[in-house]
Amino acid sequence: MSERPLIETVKLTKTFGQGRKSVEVLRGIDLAIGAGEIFGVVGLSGVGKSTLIRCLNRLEAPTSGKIVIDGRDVTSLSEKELRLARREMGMIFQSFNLLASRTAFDNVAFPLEVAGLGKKEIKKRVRELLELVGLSDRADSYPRELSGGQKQRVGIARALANKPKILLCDEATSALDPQTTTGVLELIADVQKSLGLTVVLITHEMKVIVEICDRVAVMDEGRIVEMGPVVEVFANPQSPVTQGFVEAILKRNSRFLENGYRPKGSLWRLAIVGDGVTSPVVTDLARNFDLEAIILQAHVDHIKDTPFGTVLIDLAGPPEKRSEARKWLLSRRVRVEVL
Amino acid sequence: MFFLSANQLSMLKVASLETLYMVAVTTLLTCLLGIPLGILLVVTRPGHILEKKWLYRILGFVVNATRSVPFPIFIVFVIPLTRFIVGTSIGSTAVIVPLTLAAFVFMARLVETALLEVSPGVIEAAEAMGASAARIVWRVLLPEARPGLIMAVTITIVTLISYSAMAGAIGGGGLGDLAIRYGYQRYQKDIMWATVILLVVTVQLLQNIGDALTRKYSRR
Ligand SMILES: Nc1ncnc2c1ncn2[C@@H]1O[C@H](COP(=O)(O)OP(=O)(O)OP(=O)(O)O)[C@@H](O)[C@H]1O
Ligand SMILES: [Mg+2]
Repeated sequence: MSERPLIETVKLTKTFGQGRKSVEVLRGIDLAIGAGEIFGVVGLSGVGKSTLIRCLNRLEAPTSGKIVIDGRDVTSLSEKELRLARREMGMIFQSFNLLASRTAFDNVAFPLEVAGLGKKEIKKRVRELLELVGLSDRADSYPRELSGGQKQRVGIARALANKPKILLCDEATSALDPQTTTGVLELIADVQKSLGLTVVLITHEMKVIVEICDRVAVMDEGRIVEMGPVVEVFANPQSPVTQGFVEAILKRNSRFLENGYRPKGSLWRLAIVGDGVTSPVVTDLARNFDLEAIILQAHVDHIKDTPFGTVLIDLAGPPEKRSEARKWLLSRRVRVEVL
Repeated sequence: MFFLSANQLSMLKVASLETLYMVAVTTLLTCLLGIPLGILLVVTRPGHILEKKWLYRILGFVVNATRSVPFPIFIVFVIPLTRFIVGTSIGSTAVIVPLTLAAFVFMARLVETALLEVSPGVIEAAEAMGASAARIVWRVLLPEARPGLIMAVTITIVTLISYSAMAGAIGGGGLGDLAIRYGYQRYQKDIMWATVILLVVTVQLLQNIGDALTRKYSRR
């Protein structure tokens, strides 16, 4: 993260409605997002993620607090200034929001028309953009003729048309299947790198955060409950919500436990971040403490570019040895969870 | 089938031209007034691009009030205005005034319905790109709602043809008037059948054209 954040919110609040029927959706959000990072916001449904990202380009007017983007307070902009400021931020949506009456080409051309470019320039730029997202051959297709993934690619091309510094993604992959999701996330990561974008991405899926984000903020009931580099938050979740999200990823392959496996000792789940993944943790554990360790499951994943391993072991041996072993693991920055 | 006398045929021709005149001019005026009013009814509503609560309420009230007056009474009601605009309150041209006034609020509701079909997400995407309200209306709302708008125009024309029949009451002439005066009041069944068939065929044709255009522009 660079010295001065590109996007900053200070005590941002948003309340919908008035009086008794009012709902306080954002309850004081403080964020600082650096230029060139992919920043994720994760939270369960209805916690205010969309409201937060929509405040950033003022699709939603904040109730109180400040939003500073690139050194400028966007809460005090006039209508006209706001329209200009919005051209510097691209946005993509869960439901793509393409114009059904326009072809892929003309959808991408729309923001360029808004910016007042000439026909020739538009044509050239749209070609480049469709090339960038790998859809040159579908230029003349209408949205209904495109798959979900292709629609989102058009959405990305459209969002990048006016060369924005910032890309806002509101659940951009939530309507897509896992494979397509990965493809779209890779595209976002690619363009982020090649264009030096700052990406703010909101999602209810930790998987998305883990795949491309540098830092993450976990939201609950209108507040940020946890924030930091994804690897750290993931390896050492503090709040119950975050733990829930991490669990959801780790547990996804542990069904066989429910099918009546009888452990000889106790079941531990180890989480190893970084280079530790390639060290013989389990072997050392068994050897040094004279324990019997049965590996039930092992899995190496990546959090963006950092390897992340989880091992499920059935550990049999005297209790004192096991507690010593546990301390040793913690000293090696291995997270231990006794099931 | 029917054997119409030369005289009857020429009456039919005159009446057809009268209907064509009334409907064509009224359709034009109705679109000119009804589409903008329909747009206003959409964009001024709460949460839309040009939210103006009081204007929205007033417009809604006026539209509903106008629509709740039965057309024959409406004709009488606006006679002073008709006289002021046309110079007389009798004849085909005079009919155009009440017809337009009644039809354009009706059409505004149809346009409103069509425009509300446009996904709020698409409008929001345009806002997020920094598009002005005018651009959103011209380049997003209207093109996206084109099939619905074609439907609205079709329904309006068909309704106008049937309403124009009531024009007879103030000497407006037209096919409906002919059918009532000769077919009903003077028992000339032939001429009644001829006008009815002419009307049915015209309406069918219009509806088919409308449907075909709607299909052509439907991209959902
Ligand atoms: N315009 C509005 N008027 C009133 N309440 C609203 C409005 N927009 C959102 N809300 C409420 O604010 C809360 C948060 O909504 P928001 O869309 O920000 O949640 P979210 O975290 O994005 O959820 P999801 O994952 O389901 O998209 C919800 O309870 C919602 O009902
Ligand atoms: Mg949301």
